[in-house]
Amino acid sequence: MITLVLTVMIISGLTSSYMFMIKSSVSVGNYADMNSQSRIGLEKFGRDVRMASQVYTMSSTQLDIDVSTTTIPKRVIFQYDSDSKQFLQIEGATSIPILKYVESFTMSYYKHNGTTATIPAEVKKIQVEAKMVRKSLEREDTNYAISAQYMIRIK
Amino acid sequence: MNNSRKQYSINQSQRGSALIITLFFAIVISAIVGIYIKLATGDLKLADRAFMYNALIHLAEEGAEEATWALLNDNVDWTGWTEAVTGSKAKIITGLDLGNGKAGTVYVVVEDFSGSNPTIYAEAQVQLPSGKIVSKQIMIELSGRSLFADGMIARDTLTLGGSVSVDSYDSSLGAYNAITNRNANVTIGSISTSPNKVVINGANIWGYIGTGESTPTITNSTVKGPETPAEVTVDPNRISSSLSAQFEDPVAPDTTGYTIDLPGGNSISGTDVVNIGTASGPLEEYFLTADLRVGASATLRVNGPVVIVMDTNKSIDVIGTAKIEIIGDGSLTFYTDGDISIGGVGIFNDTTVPSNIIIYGTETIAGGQTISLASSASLQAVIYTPNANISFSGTPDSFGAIVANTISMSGSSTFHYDEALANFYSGSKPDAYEMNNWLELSDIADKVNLTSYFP
Repeated sequence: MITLVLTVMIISGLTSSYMFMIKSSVSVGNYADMNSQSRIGLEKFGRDVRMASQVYTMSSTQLDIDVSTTTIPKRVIFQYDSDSKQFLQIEGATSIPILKYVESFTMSYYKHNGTTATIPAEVKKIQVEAKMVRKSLEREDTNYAISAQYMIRIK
Repeated sequence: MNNSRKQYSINQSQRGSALIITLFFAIVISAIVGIYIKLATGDLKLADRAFMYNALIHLAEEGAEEATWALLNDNVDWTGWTEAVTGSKAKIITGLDLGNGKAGTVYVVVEDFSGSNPTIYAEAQVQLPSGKIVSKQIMIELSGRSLFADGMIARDTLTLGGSVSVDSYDSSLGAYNAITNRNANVTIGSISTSPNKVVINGANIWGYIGTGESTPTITNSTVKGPETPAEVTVDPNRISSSLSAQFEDPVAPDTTGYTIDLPGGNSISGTDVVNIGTASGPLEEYFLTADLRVGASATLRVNGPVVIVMDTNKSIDVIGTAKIEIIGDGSLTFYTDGDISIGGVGIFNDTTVPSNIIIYGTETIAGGQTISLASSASLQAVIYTPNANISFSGTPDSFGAIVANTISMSGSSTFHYDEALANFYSGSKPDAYEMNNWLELSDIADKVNLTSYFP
């Protein structure tokens, strides 16, 4: 009887420890995945912003910019879709999610001197803040991404 | 003895169970630690690479900055550049410390370096600990920019009062005409980032206003363009707080071989007319060792291309009903660090092309030179005096472009910016450049192979 109780206790302990470790592993995986996703996504965003020559429209969740070259016209819209919880890079009919699992999202706009820009003509720098949440094994793993202020070079 | 054996037996059994449990835990923990290490290593590599990409952009821009400097200081700062491909300069910058024992290298190429539309390629590279080389390449397309691309720009303060009027026209289409040759393409303002540097009171601006940072003070004035709704007096779309420019101090040329002083001296009076320059003739160069003074009803007439360099602190005065007159294919370029006072009829430009009269202020101390235009004097000229304080009073009518330390206009003076000056360079090459495109060439297909420039 004593052996049985001890065995049950030990197995329970082992199982819970094992589950805890598994969950921790999944969480670490989630964090690493979200981290790498945000780095790559923000790199893509920053690349287009740096090359922009004009800001057409701006809001906290949408940015419409011109990244045309001398020979190739190109207009890109960055948009946060709260339904799909994705931050999208939209070029023509092509829409590519560059951030996923985004619970909340804000873009902030600044003039060249660092004060807040209120109209597109004033925008010189853009900053992104995103809160990403991934759920797995009844856990919520949250990753906050705050970018640097990307500077539009030729505007 | 038996008890002792039994105790030994129980201990051996427990040790066995403990060993199994320990082994189990060790395996699980090892596996998890292994996963952690793998994830952490991957994350570290990604973070390191992201850091490097960010740093490489800045390194590439540093290379582009060096190329721009060389372009602006042509024949001076191409030292260290090679020209393996005709018409293109190339340079390698090495040993740029990125921390943690990493050093970056930048390959810079300037295509069409002697033209008006050069292109800069800058590729920054760094070798990661794994041996892999990561790089960033940018391409910057430039076009020449005139020092007079805006209109009337102060380094410090711009003050307009009275009933000043400002607009633009294009001298390549003919003389200014309020109906057929009048536009709203002039920018006036200050590049200063301090507050209250642009004060407009009672002026009518048919164009744009720019400041370095702050909001201009505009009262009892209009700022409009053709697209401005009739009911709007100050169009916010025509006001910018991001005006930026760099104005280098002009330097007078070496005067060796110049003619010393004007024929008959530098003071002209009475009804005297002194002619300099020869129509369709060679450039005439004068070095004036005394003040230039044109008084009474005298005339200094310029018939051909002329350059006048004033000695240190020698002034230029046009008073009474006197005038300096440019006729035919004449042109006049002044270099002076002394004060200029223009009254009387003023500097009369019969060619109606402002770029035929250029005044370079060589003073190097901000505010150390004054230029005044008064009465009803006319001036059709390009004034580049970044350290001079300029004032207009009375009813002078001026055409051209102005760069100065401070600019003050009052009375009912007018200023008409000549849009043709946007393409005017003081020499054979652009005085400045502006970026048309700044592109990060990230795809393999887009990247330009620079190896041919570095044999």
